[in-house]
Amino acid sequence: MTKRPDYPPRDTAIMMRMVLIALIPGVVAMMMFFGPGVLFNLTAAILTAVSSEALCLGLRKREIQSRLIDLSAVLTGVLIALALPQAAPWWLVVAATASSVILGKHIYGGLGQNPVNPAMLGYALMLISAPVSMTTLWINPLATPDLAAAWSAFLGQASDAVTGATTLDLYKTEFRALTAIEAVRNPLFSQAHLGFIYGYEWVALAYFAGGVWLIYQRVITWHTPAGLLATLIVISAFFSFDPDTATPVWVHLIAGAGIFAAFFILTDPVSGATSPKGRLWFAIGVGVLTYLIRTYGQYPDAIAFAVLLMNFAAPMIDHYTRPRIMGREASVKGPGGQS
Amino acid sequence: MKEAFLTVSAGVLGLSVMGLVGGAFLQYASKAFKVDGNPLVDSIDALLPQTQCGQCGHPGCKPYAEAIAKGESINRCPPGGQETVDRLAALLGVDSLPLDADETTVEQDLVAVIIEEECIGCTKCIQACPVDAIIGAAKLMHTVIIDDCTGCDLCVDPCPVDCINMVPRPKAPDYWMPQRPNIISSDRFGQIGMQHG
Amino acid sequence: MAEYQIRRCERHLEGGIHPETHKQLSTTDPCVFVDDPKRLVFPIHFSGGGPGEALIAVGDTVSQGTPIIKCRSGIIHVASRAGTVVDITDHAITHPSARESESIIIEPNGLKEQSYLDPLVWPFDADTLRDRAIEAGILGLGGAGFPSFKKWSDGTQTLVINAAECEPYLTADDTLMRIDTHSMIRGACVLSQTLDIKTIVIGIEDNKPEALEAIENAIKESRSDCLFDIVLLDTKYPSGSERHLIWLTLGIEVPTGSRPVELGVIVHNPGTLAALSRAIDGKPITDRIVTLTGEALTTPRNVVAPIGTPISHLIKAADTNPASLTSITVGGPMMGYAVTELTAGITKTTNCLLAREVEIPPESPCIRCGACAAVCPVRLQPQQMIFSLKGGALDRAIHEGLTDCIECAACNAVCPSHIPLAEWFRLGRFEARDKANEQRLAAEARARFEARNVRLERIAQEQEAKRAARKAKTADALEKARKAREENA
Repeated sequence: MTKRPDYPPRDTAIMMRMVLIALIPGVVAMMMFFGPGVLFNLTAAILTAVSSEALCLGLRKREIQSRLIDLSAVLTGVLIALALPQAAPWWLVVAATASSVILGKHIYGGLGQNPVNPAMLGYALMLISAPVSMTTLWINPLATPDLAAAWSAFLGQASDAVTGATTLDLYKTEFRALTAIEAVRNPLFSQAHLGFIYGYEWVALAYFAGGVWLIYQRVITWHTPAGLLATLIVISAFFSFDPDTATPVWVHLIAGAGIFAAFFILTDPVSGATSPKGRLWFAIGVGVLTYLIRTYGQYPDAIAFAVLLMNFAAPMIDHYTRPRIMGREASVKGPGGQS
Repeated sequence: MKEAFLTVSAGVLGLSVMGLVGGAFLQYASKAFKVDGNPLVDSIDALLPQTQCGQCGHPGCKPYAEAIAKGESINRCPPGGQETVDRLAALLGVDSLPLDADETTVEQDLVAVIIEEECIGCTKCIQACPVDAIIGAAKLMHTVIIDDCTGCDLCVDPCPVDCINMVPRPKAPDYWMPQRPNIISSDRFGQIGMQHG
Repeated sequence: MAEYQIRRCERHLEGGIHPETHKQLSTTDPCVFVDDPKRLVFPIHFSGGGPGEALIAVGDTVSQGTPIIKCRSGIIHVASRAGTVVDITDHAITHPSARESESIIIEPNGLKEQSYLDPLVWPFDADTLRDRAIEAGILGLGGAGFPSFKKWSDGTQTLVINAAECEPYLTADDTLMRIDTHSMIRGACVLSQTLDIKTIVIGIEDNKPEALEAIENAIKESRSDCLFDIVLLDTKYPSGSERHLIWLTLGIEVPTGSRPVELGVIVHNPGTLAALSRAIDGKPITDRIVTLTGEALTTPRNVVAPIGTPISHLIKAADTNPASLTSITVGGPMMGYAVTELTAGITKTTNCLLAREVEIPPESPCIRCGACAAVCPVRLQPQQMIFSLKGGALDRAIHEGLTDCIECAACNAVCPSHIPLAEWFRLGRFEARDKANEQRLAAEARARFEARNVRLERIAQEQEAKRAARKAKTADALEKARKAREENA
């Protein structure tokens, strides 16, 4: 192992590449438990992202080549593909990715100008437009599909045998009627390797490993993931005094997109807060909103909405978390200025 | 009947008390938070360039600020340029207007200079100068204090011998302004190797 | 023997970067004197100390040390070699503005004629020393070129010698501290004794062991009774920034808008103090140490060169053909600026000529990664300020702390999008300065306008009062006359 670098990589494209590399363990784990469909989704998303990016750059009369090699479009595509249900049909992937890149990024002026996280915008848009597909096409990890089943799911004919809601969703909709003991007796848990939720724990662990590597390489800072995960743990632990009604801490942490979002979604620098303290507050905000929406909202997972809401709060967080400038008594507050 | 009377009188009494308390508070607030002068006029005046040139049709910047506060158009200040109009629009929350001026008078930082050999010492320009930037006495040569001149050109017309010229404001000989980045031939942003460790 | 202590700095720079220093490039070969060039160039307005005026005319013969330029601040620049003034004309200058400016051109005649000042005899007071610094043209030789005498106020407690030299490639101060140590220590001691300064702090980065040893020896041999406090700093850029050095060595944070002098601290470059020492002996600044370095030079080294020597002549001392270079960075890679006209002469603030090939990667959009904020030693948020500046919102950038920026360019060094942040901030700071000036003038104009209105009103009232008085007097007289008439009748 080489020594830890002192600074982030000195190039945007290298940063993006490292994030892509850090996602590889997660992708491999996904394929092990949720079948090869992930690969179809990834391919479709990357192709859509790159062609949408090229189209937008062309329409906006920008230089296409140099912007494409910065890999930001590829990264957006990969993130959205990993966020979507594993058995999502191709049109869902294409629509989500195209709206991510076009509506989430280019209508605001391209790289660096988007006010919200493009991947989460695309995801949320699909969640609203195609709620059934987005909530029922998750692969049941106990019935990992083979190549043929994955391909037919990609073509839009997913078999009910392999799909269902996510564990997090199940906990909210079906398990709530059961006691904690009954819920844990569900095969999803009883066949677990680690006694957790079958499949998801390894995927979460793989994402966690990739994320830690990114922190080590200084591509991201620890503040964002720590803020989100700590908030989720603290809040769900506080409310789990009644295990029969509350969703357990580890379900919150592992079954949803928690770990993935903590390291790869919230860390989008453009739409998040920029100071270390600001990042912490941003992540805490996402954590609180996620818990609230997961518990009281209509949607199974809430990270997308929580991130989008906090994206809009990011400029304000930035204004109020500026460090004290050397030589000044207090830190500069508020937007200020006349222009 | 009695109940109805009680209800009504309680309502009347309650509202009266609330009114009295509210009125007392307003009375107090009007004294405690009284602001001297007109803050809006001062804010407007702060944005005007203080050339006191009168091109807006008012005898100075403050009078124009007062007129704007009463609803006059914000685009009458040629020395301030479009920038001042935009700032006024932002301050007052109204739509910006194009500057009401000839192209030639806009955004030229000029100062008055007296051709001293031709000055007859009539003091007419001294009386015209709104900011006391001309010194001199009757029958003696006058001169403009360049640093104090706002370039309003009010002294030019009164001069009986036309010995006042408007010239671009002279810059200090060592004045300079960096070029906008990306144009400059600098390697200042070349790769700087980093020590890792 | 003067007393001294060496301590490691307990404070660490917040932010800042560890650039590759490349200092060994120019310290391997010994420092040498360069041959006198064929011509010397002295810009009248850009020699340091503000705009100036020529004290000599074309055709005059000057000796080494003859005053040739008097600046508005009083500072006098002298001819660095004996020779003839051949021209006073617009000429390329060593300055970031990259423009031509009125300059005095002197052709040295090779004679050793000197016209120096009389040596000062101890004891003398602070005013004498100030006058001497003005006559000898003593400026901050570290790069800023601020007239040194302006810092010397009564009530100064501490003198900090800025021996950090944190800028990569630069070794001019290091070299001076090795070969001219006694002058520096003497200058520091004389200044401290004149201004009644208690402590002399030397802030030096821990990558200069040779200089440190030389300083220790010189202090031991010094006969003054000054107290030296040598502070070893971590090698980190920009520990040599004035404000940061004061914080590192003394723990004092200089408030925004005030100068160290107001807190009883003055900071001087080692070269400035060495020059002061020579000025006391009557010798004005005629030469300085310049680092010639960079990968494009065959033998990078430090040289002692006459002020005004053209860059192209100096580069020859590094065994390099100047024609092969299109651009030279004056100063270091962080704070320096490019000069393409190599006929420009070096000035008192030219500490380094850096020649190297640099590849400038294309700028890409800011992704707000915050790497710049993490290294900003002033704790600014460059990613926010650049957003404001590029959008033309200067007010907002100022609100965000633009005027506190020290232009150290650490942000440039880490930006993954290769945005020239420091260049934008410099432009913004200049614009902010102009704007503040404009606002000051406007406020003064308003005050004069209002004062004039008050005066005109007062005069009108007085005249009115006089007229009323006259009228009353006349009426009175008429009344009296009428009464008298009536009585008579």
